Amino acid sequence: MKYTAIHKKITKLALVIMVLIFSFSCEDYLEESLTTEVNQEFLYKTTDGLKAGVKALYVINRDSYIKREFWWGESYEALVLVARADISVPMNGTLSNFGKYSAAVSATNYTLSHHWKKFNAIANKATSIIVAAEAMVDITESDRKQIISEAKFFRANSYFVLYRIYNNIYVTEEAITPENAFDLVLDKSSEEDIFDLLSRDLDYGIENLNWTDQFGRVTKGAAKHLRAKVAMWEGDWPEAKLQAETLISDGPHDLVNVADVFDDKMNHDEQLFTLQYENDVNGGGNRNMVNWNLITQYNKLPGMIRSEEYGGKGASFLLPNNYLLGLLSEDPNDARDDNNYFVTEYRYNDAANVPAGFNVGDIVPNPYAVTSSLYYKRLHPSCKKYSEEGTEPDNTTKKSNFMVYRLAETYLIAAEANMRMVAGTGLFYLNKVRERAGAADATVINETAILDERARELSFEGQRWFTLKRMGINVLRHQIQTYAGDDGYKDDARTNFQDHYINFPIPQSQLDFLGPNYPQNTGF
Amino acid sequence: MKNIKIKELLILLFIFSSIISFSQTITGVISSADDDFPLPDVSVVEKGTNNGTITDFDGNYTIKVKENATLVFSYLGMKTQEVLVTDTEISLKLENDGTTLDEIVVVGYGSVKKSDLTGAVSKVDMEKAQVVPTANITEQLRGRVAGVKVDVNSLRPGGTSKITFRGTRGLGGLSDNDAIYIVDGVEVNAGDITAINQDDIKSIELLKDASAQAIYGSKAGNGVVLITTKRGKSKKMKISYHGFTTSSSIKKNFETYSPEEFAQLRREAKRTLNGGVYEDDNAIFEPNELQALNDKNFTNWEDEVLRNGSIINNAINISGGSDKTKVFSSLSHYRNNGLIPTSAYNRKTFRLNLDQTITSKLSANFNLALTNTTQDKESEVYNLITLSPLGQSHNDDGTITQYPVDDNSYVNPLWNIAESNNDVKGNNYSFSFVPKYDITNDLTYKINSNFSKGNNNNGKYLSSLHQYGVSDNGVATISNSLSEKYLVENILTFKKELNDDNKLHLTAVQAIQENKYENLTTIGKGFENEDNGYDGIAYAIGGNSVTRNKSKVNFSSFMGRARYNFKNKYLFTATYRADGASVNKVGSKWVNTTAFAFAWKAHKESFLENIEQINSLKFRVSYGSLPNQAKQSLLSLASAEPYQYIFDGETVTGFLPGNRLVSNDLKHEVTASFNIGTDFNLFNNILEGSVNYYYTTTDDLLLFRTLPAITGFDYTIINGGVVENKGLELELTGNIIQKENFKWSVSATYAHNRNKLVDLYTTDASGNPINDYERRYIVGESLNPIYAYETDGIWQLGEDWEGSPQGDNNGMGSNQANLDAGSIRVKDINGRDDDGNLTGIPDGKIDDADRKFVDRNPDWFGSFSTNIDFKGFELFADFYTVQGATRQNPYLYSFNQGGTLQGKLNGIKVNYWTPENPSNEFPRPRDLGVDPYLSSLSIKDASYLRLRTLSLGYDFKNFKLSNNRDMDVKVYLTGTNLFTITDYKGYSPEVSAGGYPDAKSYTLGLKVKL
Repeated sequence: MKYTAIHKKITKLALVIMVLIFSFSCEDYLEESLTTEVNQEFLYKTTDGLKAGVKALYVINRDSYIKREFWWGESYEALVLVARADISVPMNGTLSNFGKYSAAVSATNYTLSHHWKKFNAIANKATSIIVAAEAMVDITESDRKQIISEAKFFRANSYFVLYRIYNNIYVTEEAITPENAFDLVLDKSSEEDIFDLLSRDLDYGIENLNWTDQFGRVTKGAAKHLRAKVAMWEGDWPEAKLQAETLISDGPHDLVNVADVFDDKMNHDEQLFTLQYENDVNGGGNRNMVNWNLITQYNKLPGMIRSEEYGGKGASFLLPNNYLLGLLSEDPNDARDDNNYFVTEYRYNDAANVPAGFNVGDIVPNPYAVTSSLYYKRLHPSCKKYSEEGTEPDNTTKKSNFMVYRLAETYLIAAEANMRMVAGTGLFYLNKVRERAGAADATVINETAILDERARELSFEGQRWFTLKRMGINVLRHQIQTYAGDDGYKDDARTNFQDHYINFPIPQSQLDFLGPNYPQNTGF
Repeated sequence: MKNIKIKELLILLFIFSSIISFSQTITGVISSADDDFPLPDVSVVEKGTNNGTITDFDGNYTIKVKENATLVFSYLGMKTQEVLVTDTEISLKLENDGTTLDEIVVVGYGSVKKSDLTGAVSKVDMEKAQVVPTANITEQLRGRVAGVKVDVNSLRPGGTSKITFRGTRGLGGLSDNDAIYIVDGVEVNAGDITAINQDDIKSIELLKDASAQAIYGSKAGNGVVLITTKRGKSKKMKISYHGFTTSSSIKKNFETYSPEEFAQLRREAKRTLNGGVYEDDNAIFEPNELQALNDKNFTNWEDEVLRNGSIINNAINISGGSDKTKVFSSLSHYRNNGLIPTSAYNRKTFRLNLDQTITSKLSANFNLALTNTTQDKESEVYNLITLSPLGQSHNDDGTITQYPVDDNSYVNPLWNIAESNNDVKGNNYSFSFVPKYDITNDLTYKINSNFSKGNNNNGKYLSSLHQYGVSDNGVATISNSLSEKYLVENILTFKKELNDDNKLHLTAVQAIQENKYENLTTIGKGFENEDNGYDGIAYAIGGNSVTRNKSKVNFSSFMGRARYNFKNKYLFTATYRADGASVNKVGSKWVNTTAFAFAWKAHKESFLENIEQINSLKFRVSYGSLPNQAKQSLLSLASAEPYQYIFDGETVTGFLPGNRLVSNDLKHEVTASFNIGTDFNLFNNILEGSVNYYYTTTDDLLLFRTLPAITGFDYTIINGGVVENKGLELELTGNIIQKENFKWSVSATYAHNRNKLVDLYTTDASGNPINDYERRYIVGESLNPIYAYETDGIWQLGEDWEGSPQGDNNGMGSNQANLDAGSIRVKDINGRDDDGNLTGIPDGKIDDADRKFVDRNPDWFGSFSTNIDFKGFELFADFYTVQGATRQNPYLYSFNQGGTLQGKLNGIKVNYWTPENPSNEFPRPRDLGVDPYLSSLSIKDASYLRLRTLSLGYDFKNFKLSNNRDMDVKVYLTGTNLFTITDYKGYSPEVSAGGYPDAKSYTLGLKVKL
């Protein structure tokens, strides 16, 4: 009897367990849901989501200029366009292949695939935000305009960077979905389409952005500056003149002391758009080795130790060339090479090891021949625009704000736009930049004067090669073949230069995924 | 009430009738004397009659016999025993008759006699496997079974290995490609398998073909390692102890440059760029390097840093029980100190396996396993090969130098070791409850339920003086992970002997499984006081960051299996399954698969039965398919990633989709496999073995599909490829001498596998597949091939390199930078036509067309072992070999591994070119502008032959204790990795460059049983 009762109970229990278990295994047992990840519904269907999307664009944009990396890599991507121009000596590292116009820079070897990928990603992600913001019903008009303006600035800036590097680019205003992502892109976009998109995007921002906002945010000034730059590429001098001059006259921006331009956080009137970095703060970005490429190894001389004054630690991979240093020393009062933009002399700073006969503070005499690599590596002038303040000088990696656009360039655009429209005009704007640096006024304005002043003021900021390219193949060829590297030293670019290097090749690995007739740039 | 009365009456009547017929009911359990495992299907016959039965799955039998009867117990492969009935319970242990033919093989939800197997299943010889001193069972399986490829993940103490059966299928690691481990019916993560005490293991079976694997379904398609732990046996209390101690030392097959040679390498590298003239030493060496060269005061970094490793293992277990309760319980402690100081692994395990009979129909098993581990990891940098021997490890006052040479890029590894602390503490437990109820004599219902949980706490501190802590002024990381898993299986088995010729065995399983994982990682940077190490994480002043990860994967499945045995000659197995996985896209969650197998016991046929040379001969064929799913969850849900930025110093968090576009379809991969094989035992047990040939194709392969960057995404994940694998496996054992006091056997395994990507997701206009070169998805090639140029020695002085396809003057403009005497010579093997298609004809220039694909996989791999048993002495030697494998050796081309011949880092010594030494092997050292073909030159044969184990043991059999109890004592001495023959330069041909160095070791062990 007892046995049977147990028997029955167990049978019942087993049945209950079985039923329980079977009811578990219905379809929703296999459902998935997001827990620690954020849903795209939030991102694209709410105002807060779209605002968060815009914030993320700033991060991707920052990582596009300076690759997100820590210990590995030389951060060379940030300086490729600097190396490609006519103002430096490509000493070493991956950068030097670009600086020397070495054949190794091809569609398959060294490429700028980083730029191709990153700036395209910004443009497309901005487009997704723009499309969603335009379609959203439950949003205030001011939020909508602010979101779209910032997103459009990033889209325009990215496509503009891509166009100037790669020429044969594809632009779109359609958001990418899993359904259309595999549609084969058959051809590049026409120049008309590209410039139409850039102008519309920037004009929208100019209309809707504020002159002032939190430091780091896109403002009306940044949009106007970029619009002026785009107009210069279109050859639309009146538009460039208009945008540049109204930015100078109507905006809150002004040139600052030459010593303050690259000082500390660069939170000053001159900056128009600055990538934000900060130590010890979440969201402060990754450390990078940009500065390390540019600073010399002066510490290897007895009596010298690394110091903030000379830029800290470096590898002497990319140095200003004699052409640039010559331009800077034309006017002895020009303060830009007085340890502001460039270090040109080193003074003993290690009291314990100063050689006999010298004192701390004495200029270090050059013991090397000026053409020897040891001179270049240890005592050559260097660019310190990227050095970080208030940090351990021995650190290889740094983290400091990175100024993309500043008002000094707006002045030089205004000068050039005036000159292009009416020969001889524009000196006012050019001389504003010279006066600020303590240099005497120029009396002549022409293409050379513009190029020379741009070199003095803006070199090593990534704009130089674009300017040469904008002025045409003749200017680019002449400048590279005449000035790149130093005479007889690391001047391979002069002989290696070929006309098709006016563009970078589209990375072959990317071309493989475009239509069979999508054009590579001529010559590659 | 009425019913019960009738029932009682019937029982009474039944008992009464048995008394009348003077017969009695005998019950008992029949098990194997070797391992105490119950034997199913043992024939129990009353001698001289037709009265008989067979034992059930648990070895139980019940038979009614007349008084004074004699029972005959017989079982193929065991010595037949006759017992006069004197008691109502007769339990026996049958002794092995020396063949392995009819050992019991666990096949998943049951076990069968080896002779009744229809699928490809291999049983591991545990005795041989456990000679290898490691906490890693996987390493013990290496070479034990044909076709099981074991690859080392890490040789660090507590490191793991992975098992691949029958070639690689997955691309890019999206789906699991490694075998799964089933321990007592429960899947255990590959990473946790090192948590199992080897002395607890009773048997390991490897399921190799689809029919055998089908029972474990999705996840099982890559092979199943079935591990069964020991259980208690009735009435006999046993205590076993196993202890060993191991000492290990570094093992390598290369030399680095001596200090003088290293200095000379740098001189040569500088000289090359200096127009062939040596530069002054003062210009190329730092002052302290010159000092070291002058004083001949050098550092041997290996001697400075490495120590001898050690292992100490103690394991004890107790087993026994009563009729109704059986217990097995064990404790173990394993401690391994690695070659690099501070690296160590510490493991404590506890296991309790309890079997309880509740009623005659109801029983239950309980398994509890607890593991506690601590892994100490050394500093992250151990650049022993590459650090300059000219540097100094210690200052004059005996303290450790931070920078051995005058360059703060290179930090003394001793310094980093002292300035870092990194440990992982793990606690795992697994609890199983398996009740079983016999509904009828034929039908059994069983619930297999398990809950397991694992905590891992990782703490790491890199001080402000550590290489990677300096820029942040100290970095503390604390990472806590929790994994939880439950499994519930409802299992119905029906076993019926319709008659002598027709036996049917049905199994139905419904199963659900949930794997949950969550992790919280906190990183704190910047510390003013570093005394607390990572425990002081709360005091970080440089900002904290927190990362949270969570995942949940659910599986649900239904399975049915039918086994049918006809005339004990023809065996059929059919399996059907439906598998659902949560990781798939809605609408594609489920997949149905089937598998069939047929085996023919040829030796039972009349025409072979009388041939004495053939003891057994079986042919098997199986075909079936199995699903596999993505490892990662949430791939088909659109999510956004966090991006943090600052505006004017203030942190903001943004969100956007990352580089991966959400998948709009995601389903199971399905592998169909065909297996044909034979098992044989010939010449009266002298030669036994098996041969298998297989062919598998995997459809709907999960892979990364690259998106053009103009979409803003890098890739998405799709089902879009087909891979085939085919191969041959051979296992042979020769029992050459089988005398009572002298046994000698040799065993060999051989496996050959070829894999090939046969199709991809997209084709061009003319229907040819479009390959993804960047990801190395190349149709017609093996998976993940090497893509490189073919080199042809070194350009020598006087040769026309400028006019060659590499040179400037060939009119093709391939102008290679720095081409000169001493550069690597490359073969022009191919060209392209105007449309960019390969022509197969050399075109006079070296370009992309001249690269070719090289298969990394070995042509074959296998093992050879020999075992001599002589009067208690046992000598075992085990060789393992991999032949025809190819690897690209980073020690010969990578800057960080010292392979670039620049004289900046030390490296493995090679015969490089100089004008005075016109070597044809390696190029001229260059300070700058490393030869672009160096990585092609470094493609090397990674074949090797290794004496993995040489072991000598002595068995003191039947040692009598004072109280007259028996005691078994065995002592052994084992040498591991005593030698390796290979041309591949590196710590081991199995370990990646920069990995933890390999060791050879000596072990002294003791096993006691009483």
